[in-house]
Amino acid sequence: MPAQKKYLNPEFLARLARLDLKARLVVEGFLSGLHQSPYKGFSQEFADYRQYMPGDEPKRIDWKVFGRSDRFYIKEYREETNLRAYILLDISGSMGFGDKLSKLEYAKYLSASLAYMLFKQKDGVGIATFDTVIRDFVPPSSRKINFMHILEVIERASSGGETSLANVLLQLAQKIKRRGLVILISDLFDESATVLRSLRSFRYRKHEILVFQVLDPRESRFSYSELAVFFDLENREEMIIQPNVIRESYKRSIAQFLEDYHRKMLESYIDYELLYTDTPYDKALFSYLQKRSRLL
Amino acid sequence: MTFFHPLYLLGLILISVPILIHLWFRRRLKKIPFSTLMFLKKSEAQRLGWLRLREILVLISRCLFVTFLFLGLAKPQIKGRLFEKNRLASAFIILDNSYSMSYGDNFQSAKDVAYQLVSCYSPNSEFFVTPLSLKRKRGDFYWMNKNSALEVIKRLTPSYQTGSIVDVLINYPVEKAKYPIDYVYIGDGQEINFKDFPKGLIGSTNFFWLKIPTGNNIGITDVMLKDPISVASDKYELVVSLTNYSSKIWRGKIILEAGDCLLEKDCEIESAQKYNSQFSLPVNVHNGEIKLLDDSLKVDNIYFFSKFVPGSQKVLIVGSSEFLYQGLIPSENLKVPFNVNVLNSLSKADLRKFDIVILNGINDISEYDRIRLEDFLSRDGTGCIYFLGDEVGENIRNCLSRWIKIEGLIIPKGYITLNWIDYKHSVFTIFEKEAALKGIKFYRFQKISANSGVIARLEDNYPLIILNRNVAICATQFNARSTDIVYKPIFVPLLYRLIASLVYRLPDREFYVGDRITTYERLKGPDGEYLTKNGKFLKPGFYTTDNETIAVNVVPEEGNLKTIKDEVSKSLNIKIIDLKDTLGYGDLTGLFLFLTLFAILFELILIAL
Repeated sequence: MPAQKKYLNPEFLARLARLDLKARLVVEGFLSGLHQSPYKGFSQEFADYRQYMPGDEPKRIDWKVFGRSDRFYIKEYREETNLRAYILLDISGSMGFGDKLSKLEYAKYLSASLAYMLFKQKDGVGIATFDTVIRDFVPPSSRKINFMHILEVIERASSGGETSLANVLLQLAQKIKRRGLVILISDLFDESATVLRSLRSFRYRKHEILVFQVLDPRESRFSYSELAVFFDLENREEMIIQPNVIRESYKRSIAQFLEDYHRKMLESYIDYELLYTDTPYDKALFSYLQKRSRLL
Repeated sequence: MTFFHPLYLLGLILISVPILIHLWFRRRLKKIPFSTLMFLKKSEAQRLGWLRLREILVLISRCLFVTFLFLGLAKPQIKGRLFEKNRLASAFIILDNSYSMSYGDNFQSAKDVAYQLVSCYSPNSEFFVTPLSLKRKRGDFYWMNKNSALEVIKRLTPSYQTGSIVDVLINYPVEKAKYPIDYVYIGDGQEINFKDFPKGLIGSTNFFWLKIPTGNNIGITDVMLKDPISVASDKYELVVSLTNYSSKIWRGKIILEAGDCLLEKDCEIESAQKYNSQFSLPVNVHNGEIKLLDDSLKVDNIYFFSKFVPGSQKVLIVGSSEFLYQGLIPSENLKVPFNVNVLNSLSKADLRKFDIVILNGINDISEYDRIRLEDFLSRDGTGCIYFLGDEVGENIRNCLSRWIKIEGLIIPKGYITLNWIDYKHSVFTIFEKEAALKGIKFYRFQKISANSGVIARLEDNYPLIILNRNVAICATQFNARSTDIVYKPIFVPLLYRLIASLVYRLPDREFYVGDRITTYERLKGPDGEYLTKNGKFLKPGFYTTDNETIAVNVVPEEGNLKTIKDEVSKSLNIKIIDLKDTLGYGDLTGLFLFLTLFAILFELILIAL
C-alpha cells in the first residue's frame, strides 16, 4: 500500500486526533492515487504555484519556472464555480453502533473529508446534523472560516436520540432554498418509503442527491454467537436473543432492506452508495467526484 | 386435603430457587448494544414469541417440580370418605395389631385409616380405642374424647400375638353410650380374629370392618415327626408341611437349621396346594429352626421346633406271640425301634426293664401282677396293650374297669368288619386315604362298652379299640383265629402306631405366642428376658429352663394370612368397607410423585425444542 493510501483506511484514521488533519490526509491520500487531477481547468484566474505532484497533468507544468528553479511547479487558478453542497449527517442513536469505529465516527470522517475536498475545490459547503430534529446547521460557503465552523460541528456531533429521518429530511428540504448537491450520510434505519418520499422532495427542489448509507459489518453479518440481551441504542428496548437461531432469518431481512433501498434509489434517480465502516474512504470520494463531474 | 408429613411443606420455600436462578441468569446474560431491533423483531417475530413463552414455561415447570416433589413427600391425603363428615356416634374402635398385620406396611396403614376414621367423627363424639391383641387387660372401659383417641392410636404397636374380636368385646363391655354405637374393626380379618364371632353378638348396632388389603402367602402349617414315631436308627425324620395360600405358584427354599445341621431343599408349590418336605436329623438334635426364604412376613415362616424324639423301645409280649412278634420285627435283618421279649406269664417279668407290655389273649393275671402292672403304668414313658382273648379273668376286668365294661365274647356268623374309624387320631391319620382298614375281617371279639376313648368301632357299633392315656384295649386278639389283619400289609404300621400312641403321648415342647406358661416356674426368653409361671409368651423364639428348650411360634393362622371370606363376614352381619375401593385415591403421594416426573420430562422436552 502506498504511504498515502493508508490515510484512506478508516481504522488508521481513527487513531488520529485532529479532524482537520484527518480530512486533509484522506483527501490528499485519495487525490494522490488519481491519474488525473480533479482541479484541472477550473478557472483562468491565477491563484498560486504549487509543486508538481504525481497525477498532475504534465502540460500544466510552468516551464518558465522550471527554467529558473530547475523544479516542477504548476499554476493554480482561483476556482469559479456555483456548486453548493449540503452534508446531512445523521447523528441518531443507531449511528453510535460500532466497536472500534462507530458508524458515526466513520460518517464524521467522511463528512470532514468531503467538506475538505469541497472546500479545496472552492465549492460552497454547508452541514446539518440531525436525529429527530436538526441539531446544527451551517449554511454553505467556500470561505475558510466556514470550513472551520463545519469541522467544529462535526467534531461536536455525538450520537444519542432516536431517528426520525423522514421528518427531518422534509424540514431540511424546506430549509435549503438554493439548489445544490445534498449529501446524506446515514444508516437510513427508517421506513424506506417515507425516507424516499422525503428525498424526492429535494429532487422537486432541483437538488442533486448523493446518499451514503453507512453500516457496520456486524449489522449485516450478525456474527454473534452467545445467548445475550440485545438492547436498542435508540429506544433502549431489550430482547433476549439466541443469535444462532435467528441469524439466517435476520440476514435475509437486512438484505431485503438494503435491496429495497437500492432499488428505490435507482428508481428515484438518487445516487446511492452503501458503505461499511471498514470500507476505505476512496470509494465514497469516487462517488462524490463522479457525481460532481456530472453536475459540472 | 391433609398431610401426614406436613413438615415437608417447608420445602415449598425452595420454589424461590428456580425463580432466583431465572432472574440471576437474566442478569448474568451479556448485554449487547445494537443499532436497531427492527430487523430482529421482523425476522423472528414468531420465533421470539415462542422463545419467550418457552422461557416462562421452563420456569413454571421448575416451580411445579419443586411443588409436586414436596407435596408428594408430605404424603397428601384426600380427607377420609369412610363416613359422612361430623358423624355423631360412640365409636368402639378395635385396631388389629395381631401378627398378620406386620405384612408389608399394613399396620401403619391401619393406623392411618384409624386417624382418618376418628377425624370423620364430630368433636362431640366419644371413642374407645383398643388393640386386638391384648397383652393383658388394660384397666376398665371408659369413653374418651377425640384427642385422647388419636393419642391412643398413635401409641399402638404391632404384636406377635393373635387376637379375637370376641375376646375384646368380652373384656370391655360397653357402658353408658351417649350416642348409637359404631363398632369398627380395622384389620386384615384373619379367620382366627373372627373366631367365635356369633351373629347378633352386638345386637342391632353397626359393626364395620375397615378391611386392610392383605396378600396371601406361603405358610408352614405343621412340623412333625415322621411315622413311625419311634426311632430305630441314629437319625429321625422330620416332616415339614407347607401350604401355598397365594394365587401364584411359589418357588423357594426351605432351610432347616438345627444344631450343626444346615439343610436346604428347593420346593415348588402350586397355588392353594399343600406340600410336605422331609428332613433327616440326628436323634440327639431336638431343637431347630425352619425358614422359608422369599416370604412376605418377617417371622411367620421361621418355625421354631423342639421335638420329643424317643429312642428304641423295650417291649414285653405276654401270651401268644406268633403274629405280634412278627409284626414288631418283620425281619431279623431289619433295624427296628423295638427290643422285643416274649414270656408266657407276667409274674416272671421284671417290668422295670420294659417300656411297653402287651398282654395278648391272657385269661387273667394275679392280683400281685395287677398291682405291679399299675405301678409300671404310673411311670412316664410306659404303656400297655390288652388284646382281649376269649376269656377275661377278674383281675384283668378290674384292671380295665375304669375304662370299659366287658360283657362277653361274640362270635358272629362269618365275620364283621370295621364300621367307624377316628381318622383324626394319630393312630389312623395315615390310613385316611386307604380303604385297607375297611376290609379287615373279625371273627370273634369281646363285647365291651366304653364311655370314652373309642377310636375304632365294628359293625353294630361294637367298640374295637379304646385308648386312654397309656393303655390301649383291643376287643380281640391279633391272631389268625380272631382276625385276618395279621395277614394284611397294614398290620405292621397299625401296630407301630398303636404302640407309639401310648408311649409318645408326651407333647412336643412347642407353644404359641400368647399361650400362658403353666408348667414352668421360670423361663429365659430369646432376648435374655425372664418369664415366670402364669405369664404369657409374647414373642416367637426359643425359651429355656435349666434342662429343657421350648419352642414358641406365632399362631399359624396369623402367619398364613388366610382371611375370612366375604360371604362369611356378611353372614355375620358385618358391614365391610374395603379400603382398596373406598380410599383407593385417598393417598395422593403417588400422583404427586408422578407429576414430579412429568414436570422433569416437560422441562426436558422444552429444552430439546
